[in-house]
Amino acid sequence: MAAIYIIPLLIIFTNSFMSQGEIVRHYSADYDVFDYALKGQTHYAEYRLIPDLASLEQYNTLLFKTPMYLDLFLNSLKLTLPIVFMQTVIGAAAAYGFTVWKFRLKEVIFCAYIVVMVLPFQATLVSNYIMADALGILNTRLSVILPMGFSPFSVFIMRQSMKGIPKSILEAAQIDGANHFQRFIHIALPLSKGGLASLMILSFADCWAMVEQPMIFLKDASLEPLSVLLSRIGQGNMGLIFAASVFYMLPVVWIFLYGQEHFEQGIKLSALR
Amino acid sequence: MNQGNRVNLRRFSRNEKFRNENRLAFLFIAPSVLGAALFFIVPFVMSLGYATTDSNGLFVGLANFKNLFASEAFRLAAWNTFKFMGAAIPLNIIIPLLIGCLLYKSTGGGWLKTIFMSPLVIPSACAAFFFQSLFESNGLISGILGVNTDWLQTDASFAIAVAVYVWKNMGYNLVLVLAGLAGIPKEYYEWAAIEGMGSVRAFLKITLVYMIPTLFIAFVMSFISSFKVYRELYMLAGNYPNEKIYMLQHYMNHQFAALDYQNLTSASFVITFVIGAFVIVFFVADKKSEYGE
Repeated sequence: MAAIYIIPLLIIFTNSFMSQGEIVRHYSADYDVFDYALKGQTHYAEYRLIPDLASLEQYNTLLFKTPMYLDLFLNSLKLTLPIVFMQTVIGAAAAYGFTVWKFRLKEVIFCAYIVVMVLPFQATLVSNYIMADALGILNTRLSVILPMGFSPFSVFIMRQSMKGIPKSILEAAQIDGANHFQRFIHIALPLSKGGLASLMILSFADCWAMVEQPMIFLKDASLEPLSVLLSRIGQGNMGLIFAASVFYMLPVVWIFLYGQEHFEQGIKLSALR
Repeated sequence: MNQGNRVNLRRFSRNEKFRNENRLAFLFIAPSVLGAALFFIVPFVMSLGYATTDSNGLFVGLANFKNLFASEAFRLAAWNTFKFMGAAIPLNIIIPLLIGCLLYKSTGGGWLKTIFMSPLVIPSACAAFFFQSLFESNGLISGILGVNTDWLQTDASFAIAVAVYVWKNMGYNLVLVLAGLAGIPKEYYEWAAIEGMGSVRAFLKITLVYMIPTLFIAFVMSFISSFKVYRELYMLAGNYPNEKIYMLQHYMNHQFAALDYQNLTSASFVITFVIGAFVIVFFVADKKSEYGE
């Protein structure tokens, strides 16, 4: 069972050192014609764990011959980092508000948040599109960043995290004369550090992988993030897919390994009641 | 009398202070509420305009909804999505539950857990490339069977979609299950053993019962992620897949590509209402159980 999970990872990594010709030879259907003429049999795709000849050709092409990939990498960062920043700041503040605000209808508002959170992207697409159009930000990074930045998911995760803060601590600070802002900065935030880290990791992984939103809102190819290009790479330059995937996965894997505890913590937070 | 006044005065000033404090608390929520309203709620209400008018802007009442339900493509997509959820969500809960129970008892489950979580970060495109070379007509499976079948174009595509979904999302629920299992006191199992309870009965009577809240959340999270399988499906089978895996998301994308706002908005209204109803039922049930405890 674990093999089903580890083999794709291994193949991606080892095959990124294959030469492009070898990849086409192993995986491509185009190769059929050749093969059929030569041997009179159909060629089936085959996985090779170990390349015939290890080479850095893919990485060379990726990083030096086509500087476009670096631009796309930067594009991904320029979309992901502002979204993560917005989600963290807005989410943490709103979560604090939901924790301390006393208002009968607050659960109704929160329920609406959960509905928006659960909706598939295709259902909120029209709404986002109408508003981006009205604000005149279509085809700019803002049209992707703003709706994602206000995503209710961040509020949900942070509120779950702040549920773990004992009420007595906040009340004690209030009696000592700390105002909301001081209580937020000095008590709520430090005590939900784990939640903040998890939120950042979950939202980074989510934004880094987004395909649909930039595909629809960014018509300009120069704004495209790496994830969108990768979603097309299978059809075009197959010889680069493994190195490009490794390149693409680096930041997520690094963050994932570095913060796996927080990642898991984030998942557990979603389960807290 | 005098004293009573003083108490009232104090209560009054306390209330005043409380009100100010409470108003300030709302300021923390305001940016989020404004943003969510601006990008999700307001345009959603605005889109009601499209859903109740025809392409010339004339009011047609519920005619668009009638057309939508009459459309075979929409009904197929809705039915497929429903079937997909019915198959994928339970599997995505049961499999991690069983693996979780095994991993929890064994040592060295840590890195296995890491491996099971890895698909959460593998780019969809790369995973799709991998699955394609498994299932396409000259793929590995065809090769083993010595045939030339593109499995994604057969009825098997539904099973493939479910398998890909579970492969991708199971790790999330596994983490939830392991956390839930860690919360069950070990003594319960010791007592059960003293009582002479078999391990199957102990699993049913103790594990399952104490895991209900965890499994509930696993269900909700699976529900959310079940919509996201579209990304993999799109990369595996393109915009016009086999009709067994033609989902609501494909339908919505086609309407968007055709700029058919009437169909698009009325479909997103229907989806929002169905999901909204689900969420409200869950939410109320959850709050009730919270206060009941």
